[in-house]
Amino acid sequence: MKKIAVLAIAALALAGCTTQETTLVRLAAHDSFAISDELIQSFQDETGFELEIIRLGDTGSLTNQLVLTKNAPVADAFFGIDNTFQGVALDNDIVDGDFKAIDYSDVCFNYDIDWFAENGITPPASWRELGQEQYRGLTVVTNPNFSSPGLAFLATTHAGFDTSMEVFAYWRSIRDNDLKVTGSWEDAYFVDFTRYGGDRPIVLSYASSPSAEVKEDGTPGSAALLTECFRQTEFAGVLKGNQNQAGAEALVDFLQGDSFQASVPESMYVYPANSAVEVPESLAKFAKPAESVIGSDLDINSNRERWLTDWSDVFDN
Amino acid sequence: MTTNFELFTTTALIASFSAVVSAFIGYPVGNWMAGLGQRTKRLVSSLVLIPFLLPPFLIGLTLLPLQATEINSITGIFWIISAHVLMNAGFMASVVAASQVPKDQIEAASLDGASSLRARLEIELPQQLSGILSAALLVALYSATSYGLVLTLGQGQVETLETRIATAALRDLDLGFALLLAGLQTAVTLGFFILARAIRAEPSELFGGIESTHRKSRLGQIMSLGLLVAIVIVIGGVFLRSWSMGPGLVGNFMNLAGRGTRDVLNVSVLEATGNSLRNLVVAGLIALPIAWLASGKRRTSYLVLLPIGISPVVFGLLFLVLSGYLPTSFGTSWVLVPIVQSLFLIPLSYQVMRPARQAVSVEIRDAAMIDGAVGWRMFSSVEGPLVRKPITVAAAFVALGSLGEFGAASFLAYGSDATLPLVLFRLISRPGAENLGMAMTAASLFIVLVALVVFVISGDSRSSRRDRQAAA
Repeated sequence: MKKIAVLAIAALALAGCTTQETTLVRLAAHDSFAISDELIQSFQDETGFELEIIRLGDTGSLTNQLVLTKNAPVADAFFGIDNTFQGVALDNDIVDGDFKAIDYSDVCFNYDIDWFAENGITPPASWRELGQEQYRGLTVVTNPNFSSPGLAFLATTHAGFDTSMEVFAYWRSIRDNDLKVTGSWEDAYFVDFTRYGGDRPIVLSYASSPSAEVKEDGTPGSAALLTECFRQTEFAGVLKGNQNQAGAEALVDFLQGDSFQASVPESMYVYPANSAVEVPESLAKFAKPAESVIGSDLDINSNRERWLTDWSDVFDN
Repeated sequence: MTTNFELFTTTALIASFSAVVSAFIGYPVGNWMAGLGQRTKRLVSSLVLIPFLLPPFLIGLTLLPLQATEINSITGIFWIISAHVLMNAGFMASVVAASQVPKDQIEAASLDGASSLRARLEIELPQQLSGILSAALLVALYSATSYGLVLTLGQGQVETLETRIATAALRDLDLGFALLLAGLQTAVTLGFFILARAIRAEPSELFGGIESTHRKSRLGQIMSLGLLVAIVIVIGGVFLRSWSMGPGLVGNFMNLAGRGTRDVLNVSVLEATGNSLRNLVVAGLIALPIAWLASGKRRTSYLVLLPIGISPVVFGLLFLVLSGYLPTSFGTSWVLVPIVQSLFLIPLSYQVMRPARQAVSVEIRDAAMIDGAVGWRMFSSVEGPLVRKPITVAAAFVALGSLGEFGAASFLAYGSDATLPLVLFRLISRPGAENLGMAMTAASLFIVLVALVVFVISGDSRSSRRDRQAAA
């Protein structure tokens, strides 16, 4: 009996030991992370490390899971913590070294060009106009409690007014204008947007989304309201307590490299952080980045909970 | 934002209403069931117990397509209570059917001139009351720990203690608050559990009862019909949708090997099922031997039973917090999920095994020991064959419990270790007829599995009792 116990303990101890040289590098990413098999192969060929991708939900969920497991990290490197959640990551000290910017996208409203033409209404020029009578019942946004663009837009409104009273007044005005609130961007875009059979021609989305709506004849199907958008920058980095330091660093370098940067517009509908990389024509022509962005100096981390509580009060049910 | 008090009242309200309505429906249905012929009784009791053995999350899934798209907190609570009743009315009915009063008491009463109703109220009901109350409290307990169901049917509009624990921990990273709520939730569930056991110490057998009473119950007949029709419609709806939605039945089957429209899943439904089966085996290997050893003891072990009174969400949270302090490879390993699951699967199998083990008469065991049978030999040659049926039932419950478990897994199963319920939940929470078709197909398979299990174990319960009595 004793012998068995000793053997068992030895086996467990060995299993618990992390090997010094490991060829596996694990990347924690959000669900929208996309990388082609060719790129994965070229990473593996270039560096000799094997890549495993672990998806942990959306940006917020990714960040939180990494924080909750920081004493026993599930990955060696991460991709997808953005500027709205960076504060959480910093506060909990989970990143080893710097946050490296990989890509950015601008959260802006999109509208259905054909719908407005057919109904003879002038499309809005800015999100500030969405409370006006002619836009009653035309807009769909996502719940900032669950959705990253929703939170980005909430931040935009806080950046766009001087006092909280004004922010509340704005949200109340669009709520009273028959605003629809859905749980996720996918619901809003692929179910409620008029271009996919829904009944809302104005949808909260990204500046890059119109490039997916270009019609067969080359004319645009939707357009973005490019003023006062919110820029989401996504970062990658090495996680503290990882099991493969060299692999993690190599991976982060690869994500910043030209081949991956060139792939992000088509695979994830975002702009590469590396401005020297060429962007495909459809994006360059129909999905230009925002003309102006606001909210970059907001302290989202400290305010997030209070903003969400206030928002929920406006939409209480 | 809902206050703690509102969360508490919502949780308690849902639990109590579910219990009361289930009891109101279960009582006449159970009495009616008791009067059925053997074969019909087996069929009916299997059918009404299918929803009881389905995981709460899956019940939510089956009712989801029936919901209008826009619900608020009031209609959401209504749907949740209805789902709980659908799940538990069959359980209540089985308890009532198994706790029938002996025929001769009723006959004696009617000879003395008591009307049928009077006999029921003054003779039957008082004797059945403890069983009914205890079962009702268990229903309240189950209805207070149905996280997956609340999430699915509440569509974010209904907040209970469990949902708030999850958002506090996973979304707000407020572990302190989450633990506080977990304490409150545990107080509620333990309260139900301790009360249930105080009223009636031993759980009733679900299958098999004493001799049929052959009494007509019009109300029971109508309600039973209603319940059966509701169950058939709901389950039938799942099968129908798996056939009609998305690319049709075959297409949906093929899609189960894929990752959903727009690659919404991290692992395919097939891979997730593989994960769940792996967890199931590990959980079973842990839970069943421990339950067996504990059920052989003379005194009832409250320690073993205690985890029933604690929500899986609370367990998931506690283990999530603990995992940071465990050795690295263990703390991130998938093996945490089956370990946590076995915590509440042990008492489940204990409750099934214990009455049976206790019923094996002491004389047999003593005689066998004198003949030299100990340990494994005692199990394989003497006790085992006599309690083969309860062991099978326990194993089936453990398997179903692990397969459908949602609360703990949502805290502990990451990325490629996702389990089947987690994957199904993602499928239904993203738009797309194909995704829903896949979810319905997977749900249909699960239902068929449960129906098979229920039907098999509801049979020959009388023969196994005969064996034990003969051997005594």
